[in-house]
Amino acid sequence: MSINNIDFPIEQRNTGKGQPNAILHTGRPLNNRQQKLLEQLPGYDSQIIVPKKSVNMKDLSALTAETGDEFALFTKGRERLIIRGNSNSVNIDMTKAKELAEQGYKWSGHTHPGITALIMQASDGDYAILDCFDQQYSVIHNSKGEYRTFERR
Amino acid sequence: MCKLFNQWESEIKDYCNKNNLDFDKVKTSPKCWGKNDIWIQHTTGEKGQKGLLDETPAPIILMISEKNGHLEFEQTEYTQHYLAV
Repeated sequence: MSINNIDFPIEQRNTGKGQPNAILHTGRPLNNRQQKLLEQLPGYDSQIIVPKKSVNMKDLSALTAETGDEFALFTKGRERLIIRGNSNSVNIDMTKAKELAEQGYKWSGHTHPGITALIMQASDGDYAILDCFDQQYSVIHNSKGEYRTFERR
Repeated sequence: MCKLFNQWESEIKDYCNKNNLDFDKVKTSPKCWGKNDIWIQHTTGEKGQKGLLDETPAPIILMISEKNGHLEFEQTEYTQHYLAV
C-alpha cells in the first residue's frame, strides 16, 4: 500500500461526490468547487468567467446531472466563460457566437441533458456555431460525463 | 478530419460501393464520433441559424462502429434518402 492510500482512506476517496454518474444515479452531491460554480449560475442565461483551472467539461456534466440544464464552456487564454442554458437550449445564436470568437474565445464544449448515447447527437445549430469559431472540433457531454466529438463542416 | 474515419476509410468505401451509397457524400458529411464509432450526419444551413437555441438533432445518415475488431455499419431511416447513388 502506498503512502497516498494511507493518507486518504477509502471513505475519503471514491465517494462519488462531484461525479456526474453518481450525482445522477445515487443522488451524490456536487463537490464544493462545483457547488460554488452553480451558486454563481443561478438561472437561464447566467454567465461567469473563471480561471481555466477551476472548471472542466466533466464539471459541466456534473452541473447538468444536478440541474437538468445545458451548459456551454468557452475558453480564452487562462479564463473560461460558462453559460447556463435550460433543458433544451443555451442562449447562443450566431451573432453571439461570432462576438465570442472575435473576443478570442474557443468553444470548448457543451452539454446535452440525458444519459443515452443518442443524446450526444450534434444538432444543425451545434455545427453552425462551431463554424463561427477558429477551431476544428468541439465536444458534447451527456449527464453521465460521456462525450462525443464533432467537427467543423 | 476524424482520425477514425481516416483509419477506416478503405473499409467504409468498400461498404458504400457494395451498398450503392455515395462515398464522397459520406466523406464530406459532418461527423460526430466517440471512442470506437462514428455517426455521419446531414445538416442544412437554414436549420442551424438559431445556433444553440435550437438543439434539434441533425439526422444520422450512417452509423459505423468497431466491434470485436470488425467494422459494423448500421443504416438509418435517412440513409437511402441522403446517400443512395
